[in-house]
Amino acid sequence: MNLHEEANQAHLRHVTRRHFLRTCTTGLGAMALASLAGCAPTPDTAVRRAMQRDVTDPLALHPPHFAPKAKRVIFLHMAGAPSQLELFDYKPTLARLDGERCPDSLLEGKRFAFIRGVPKMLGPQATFRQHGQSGAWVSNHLPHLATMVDDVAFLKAMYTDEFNHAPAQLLVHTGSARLGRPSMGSWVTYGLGTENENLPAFVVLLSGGVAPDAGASVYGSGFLPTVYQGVQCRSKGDPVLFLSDPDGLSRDLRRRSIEAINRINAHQHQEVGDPEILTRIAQYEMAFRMQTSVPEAMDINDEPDYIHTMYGTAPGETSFANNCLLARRLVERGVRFVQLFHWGWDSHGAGASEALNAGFLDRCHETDRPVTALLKDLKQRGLLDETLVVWGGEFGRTPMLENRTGLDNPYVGRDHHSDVFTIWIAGGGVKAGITHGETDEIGYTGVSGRVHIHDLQATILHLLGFDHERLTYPFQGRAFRLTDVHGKVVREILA
Amino acid sequence: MKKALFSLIVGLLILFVMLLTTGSGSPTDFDLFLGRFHPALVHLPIGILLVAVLLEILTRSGRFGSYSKAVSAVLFVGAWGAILAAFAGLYLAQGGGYDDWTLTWHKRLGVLIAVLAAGAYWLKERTRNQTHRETQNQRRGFAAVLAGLFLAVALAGHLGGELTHGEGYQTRYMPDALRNLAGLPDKEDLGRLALENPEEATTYAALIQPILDDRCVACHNPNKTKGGLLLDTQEGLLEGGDDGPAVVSGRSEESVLIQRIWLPLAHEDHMPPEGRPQLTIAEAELIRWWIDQGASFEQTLAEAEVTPTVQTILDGYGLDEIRTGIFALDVSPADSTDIEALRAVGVSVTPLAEEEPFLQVRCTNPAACAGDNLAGALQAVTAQVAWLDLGRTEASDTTLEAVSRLENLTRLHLEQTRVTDAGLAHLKGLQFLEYLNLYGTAITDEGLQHLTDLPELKALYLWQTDVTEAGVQSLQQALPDLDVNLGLSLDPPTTQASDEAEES
Repeated sequence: MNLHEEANQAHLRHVTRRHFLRTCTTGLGAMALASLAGCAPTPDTAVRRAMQRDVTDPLALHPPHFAPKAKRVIFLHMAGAPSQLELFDYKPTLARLDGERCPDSLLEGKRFAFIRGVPKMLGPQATFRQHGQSGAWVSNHLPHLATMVDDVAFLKAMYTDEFNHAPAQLLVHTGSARLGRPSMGSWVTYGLGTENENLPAFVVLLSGGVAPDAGASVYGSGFLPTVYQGVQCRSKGDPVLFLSDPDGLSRDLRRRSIEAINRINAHQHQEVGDPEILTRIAQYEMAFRMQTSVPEAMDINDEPDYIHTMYGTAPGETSFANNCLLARRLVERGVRFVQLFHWGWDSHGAGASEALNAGFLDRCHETDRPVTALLKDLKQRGLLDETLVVWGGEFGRTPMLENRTGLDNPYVGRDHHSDVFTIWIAGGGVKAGITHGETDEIGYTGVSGRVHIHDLQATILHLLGFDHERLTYPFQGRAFRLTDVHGKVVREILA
Repeated sequence: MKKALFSLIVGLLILFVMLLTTGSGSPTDFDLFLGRFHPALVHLPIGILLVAVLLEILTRSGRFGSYSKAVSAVLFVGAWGAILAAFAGLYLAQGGGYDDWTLTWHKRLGVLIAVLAAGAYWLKERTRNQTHRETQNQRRGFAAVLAGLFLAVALAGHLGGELTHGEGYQTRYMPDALRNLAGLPDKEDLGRLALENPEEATTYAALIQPILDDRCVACHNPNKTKGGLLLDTQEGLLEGGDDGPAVVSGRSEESVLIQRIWLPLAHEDHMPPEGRPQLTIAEAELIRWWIDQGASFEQTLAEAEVTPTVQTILDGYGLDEIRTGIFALDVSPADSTDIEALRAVGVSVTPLAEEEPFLQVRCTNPAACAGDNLAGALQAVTAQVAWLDLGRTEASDTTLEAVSRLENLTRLHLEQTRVTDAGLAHLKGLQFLEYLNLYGTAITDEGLQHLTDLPELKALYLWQTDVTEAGVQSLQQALPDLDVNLGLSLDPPTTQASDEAEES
């Protein structure tokens, strides 16, 4: 017992029943008055929601606030931030200005991650055409996706607050550029629960060789119970680390040892009554179930050849294509939120791997076919009506050339740009084949239909049936939510 | 004293003449300039006259007898203040735009205050100059006049407040508890549009005419038809006024009604005229939207195409999203024992949303969903099941017999099941079915014949079935809005060169 506790207990011994009654009656009187005057506090929805939960089954199904349009989400995060000017945002004027010095008026009061001094403008490093009934502009780098534009809503005037990867990625996924907030997938699984209790409700798949800059926090659960955090699954080796039985431990023995551990935990719970112990019991059970269901879901060998051809997958690899196919298999099995990260889009032009005329083209090539295949496959299975697919980076790129070294360099690139970028979203409840938002003639900033990251989050939650202002969790004395104190549903893209 | 009394009488006479002759005509700028002194002038006499009342009370209480002399002087100043304030007020009233009843009574009370103040002055002076002591009757008479004065000041002040801040300004921010005692609704319900039957309410009756009533009808009614325009009825709107029709259906920019609203406030033709309550931006936007929608008097809110801007406005009115389809139905929530019975069969059951009676049912145990148990358990919740997912189960044609009774079903998953053409006959009566997934089943063109009567069907999935293009085409003749998916392949992307060849 430390000094503070001791002092506190000594103090409490002097509190008599008389004190108690006196303090109480004043309080009770005030409460009675408040309720008579019609000002009595009603339980916060978040508190109510938390109270209704069965601690032994934290992933039980819950209804959203209103009838949803979509039930699941696949978030394709192109980590490193792909250039919108080479993919979707066609700017002929910028082509004309290629090589000109950037006017001072564009640089005044702006900060860039790397550009110093006066940069030159850089024309689009791609050719553009309009595609589909909707006439959406897509560059020659995404020939497959161009065939699906009529199923997609483009948000061309997205903007964010951050121009460095880690904080910008955190903002996209947790609604805050600082660490410690739950990610979107955690919020959604907290709000809706899971349809398949044998699989994690929120799965994360990484490719591109580099983990997200912000680390596991982009799929962490923050202050929500840890059961809601994203579970990273691997397409090579054990899908979930530390899940399979060690050598020499049979499944039967594992079963019996888990039962024994659970009995001990149950005793412990009877003694101390901590609900976290029940959660622990539930987690052991789930891990045991996952031992068979996860490898089954993650094994793409049983897919027919035409599916492998469609996605461009090769079993046993760690690739974005494999992850796209896994994403479909997971949502098919009722997984609520699948988050893909594909690293390598940070096209500064300082070297081949990060140049618009080298590495960037490889990224396009790696992702174009699987992303398109994913959309088509979801569609033909009738899943796209109930699934949201979101594609995007954490920010955009400048219309100016970034030449960090100032030397003659065969590679071209663009700097980070928080003012504008393109994201597309497809699936349940989203208007198909539209473009929302417009940028100025060099693609430097949005001029109409600007959508902030918080607005996108509010819209995604809306499509899942949530009022983003009501999906809250009490923490540190106040109700927190994904969109903090911001966010406005982009009604223009709702079907 | 005589001169002073005479001046008051002259002032009052002019005031009377003005009260009787001026209405809310078309005032000159100078009239309004004078009128706008009213707020500056009106508060001083209120204070002065109340001081007179206070002094009289103090005098009579005994300890401050010496104040008696001051009362008549204070009353004189107060009476003149009241006359001047009333003058300015009568000019201000000519600007118009006020509630008639409130304005009339405010004017009458204002003049009454001037009269009472002058009368009180005269009574006080008379008793002061008489040789004998004030009689009991005089004392009572004077007290009565002062009491009347006090009451008139309070009432006129309140009416003035209503004119400036709008009706009900006094109770607007009253705590709800007090409001309820006074029989008023809760504060948050103010400004809400209570529609008894939102599905049947027409846009015109629910949204547009109330705005016109508020802002326009005061001058455009059968009694007072400015510009020959009546805005209190449909006929009047269509007929228009001296400048022709007020509304051009579908073309707000050509409609005089909108043009006049959009003119700058200072423009001669701006409506409502300067000084009168103006339309809010939201109100103008609603009228514009209604005209662009075709200015229909019959279109219901549910039929109207609600733009994001209009939805924002309607949200502000507290008008929830217009409910359509099954959500417009009055369905009671399912009994919890029935839901438990359904769960016991081995399916997951969740409400579609917190406040909805509808359920989504998903089969998690393939074998369970084939048997009679499911059919039996569904009997108790036929009205509530909106989404049913039997995909990848052993569900068969017999299962569909039970499904046929789910009258409010909107989404049905039957992919990779054993259902056949014959089973689809059971789906005929599902009037709300929007989504039907049949991929990976043995369905053929023949089975599609049973779907032609599903009015709401929007999406049909037929990948990996025996359905042919021809079969799809004949179904789409019956259901032109239906989107049918026969499966997609990822063809090699067309090259730039071949596209250019096509184009040329």
